[in-house]
Amino acid sequence: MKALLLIGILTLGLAGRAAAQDASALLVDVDARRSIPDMDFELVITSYQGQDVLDANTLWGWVKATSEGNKTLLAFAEPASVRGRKMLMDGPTVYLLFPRTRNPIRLSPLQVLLGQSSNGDVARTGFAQEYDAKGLTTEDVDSTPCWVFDLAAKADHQGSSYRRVKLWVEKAGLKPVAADFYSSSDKVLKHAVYADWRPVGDKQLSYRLEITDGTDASMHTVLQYTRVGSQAFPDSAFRRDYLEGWVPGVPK
Amino acid sequence: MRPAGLVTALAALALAGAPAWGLEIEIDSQISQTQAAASVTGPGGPVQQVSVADTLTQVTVSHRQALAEGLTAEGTYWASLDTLPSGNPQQLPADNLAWSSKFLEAWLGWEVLPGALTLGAGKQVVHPSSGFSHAPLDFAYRGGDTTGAQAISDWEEGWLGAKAAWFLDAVSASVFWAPALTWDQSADQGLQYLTSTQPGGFVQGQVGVTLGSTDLRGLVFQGSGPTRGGLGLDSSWGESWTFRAEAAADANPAAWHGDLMGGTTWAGVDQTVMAELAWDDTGTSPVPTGFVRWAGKLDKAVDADAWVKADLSDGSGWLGSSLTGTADKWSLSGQWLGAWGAPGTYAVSSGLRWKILVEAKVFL
Repeated sequence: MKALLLIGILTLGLAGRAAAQDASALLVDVDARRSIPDMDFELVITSYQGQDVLDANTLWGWVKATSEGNKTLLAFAEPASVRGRKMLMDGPTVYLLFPRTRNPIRLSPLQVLLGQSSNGDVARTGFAQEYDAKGLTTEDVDSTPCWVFDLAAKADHQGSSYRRVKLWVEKAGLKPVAADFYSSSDKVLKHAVYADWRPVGDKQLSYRLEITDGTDASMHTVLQYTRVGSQAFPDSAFRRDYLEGWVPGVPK
Repeated sequence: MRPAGLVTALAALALAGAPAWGLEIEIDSQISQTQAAASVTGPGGPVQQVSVADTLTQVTVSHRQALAEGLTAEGTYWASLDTLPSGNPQQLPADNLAWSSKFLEAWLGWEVLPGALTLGAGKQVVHPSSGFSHAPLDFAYRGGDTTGAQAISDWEEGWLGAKAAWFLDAVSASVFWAPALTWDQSADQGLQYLTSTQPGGFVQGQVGVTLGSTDLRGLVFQGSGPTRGGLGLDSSWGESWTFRAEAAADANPAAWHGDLMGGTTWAGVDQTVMAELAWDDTGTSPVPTGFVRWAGKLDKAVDADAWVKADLSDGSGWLGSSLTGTADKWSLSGQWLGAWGAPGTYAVSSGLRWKILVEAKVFL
């Protein structure tokens, strides 16, 4: 009986491990299908409280996919009161350079205020780089069969704003449909909906991301790409000290 | 063109709207009332409480232009009208209004190897410190004497010179060279619009390394005095904390003059609290200071802050607060600043008692 129990436990353990590996491989595929190497873009971020617009920012961005994860250079183009600010997002590390200064300031993740707090984190999340797949189930969302990933922050990303993510991905095209981002106390901080999918080269990109605050449903933010292209940038441009000399221009 | 004419032209240009090719205009008007201790009978005379009113309007025009692939020109021209530039009511300007203007920055940059090597020449601000109220690594600083928070630079004149910067994987290095520039300012008045004099000139070398979640910087500065060296560290921990520390000293073991700063910032969803300790032994006597600042968002467009900075050796200090409303193209701010302590203490010897200021900015 003990031997049978042991075999059973081992079998379940191996099956669970295999399932986790399958889920991890699937998650990598989900990221790969929407990852555009050397992407440049114009993005409008609008924050709402109910129907009232709290603020709106237009940003120009450059994304570099590296073996260490995505790195992003951002420049604030509008409104005029914040124009000229430049930002580098390198994993959980964020630097901000104000106009007329020469020393980029290191920010903590909670200081990254693009609309509502940490929306920038939600927008940039490369799931497989920051999270381990702990579980994979299925569920229909609006009659669309979906995978449901249960993700936990990797050991080297414990500083992430979100310790756990529940991610719904359309089975047919592996497009993210929605995601819940959880705090360390397991409360939903943000709910994100991915929409307006369009082809960019041989990839598919969600042009519209709608984020709702987990504690106040009236607070929501819309991130809308208004221009997406591709430009090659050297890895060394995505460094703190390069921000000062970086000359942002209208994305091509 | 007469100063008033130039201001009118700039204002007209501003109202016409900034074209999309990179012209940016900022208009900043301040009205302040200051209560200060000053001698009203001349230097060395008895000190009295005086009330000083000042109205200042500044206009800056900035432009950035891509000239060719990798070649960019950018610059900022600044002009101001001030009713009391001296801050002393006994020294009123002619016609009760002082006009001044000059290039703050004018830079031609060439990205020789994209993302790896850049060269530049012209006029540029040099600001390597990350200190908020105290900045040990700002060896070359042309800003005014400050008693308040200075994390974000106010308008400041840059240095005429040339720069080379390298970027490798986790390492960057740069050298800025500012030549010695002196002339008879009364004879060559036109040069004042281009740059101030640079007696002695300087060379500043900087190396930066990123190790995990920590940035390290090393600086060497050679000006007209002894060589100065400095080290800086910036780091972050978790989702809310950042840390910074800086140390600088003359390369003269016989007469060591150090300047130290350490600080931390905690960030919540809509507010930050920062604290810094500093030890400045570059003056006549060491000055230890402590600084604490709270900043937060009160409403969707309203920010507030309050801070206190104290001389830990004599107990004197300053405190201030501000309330700022910001829209897409303008901001309106009310600020209050005060000093306390006994006569002769560090803060009180600045002469300031209190100051209130209303500031309006327009961004175009």
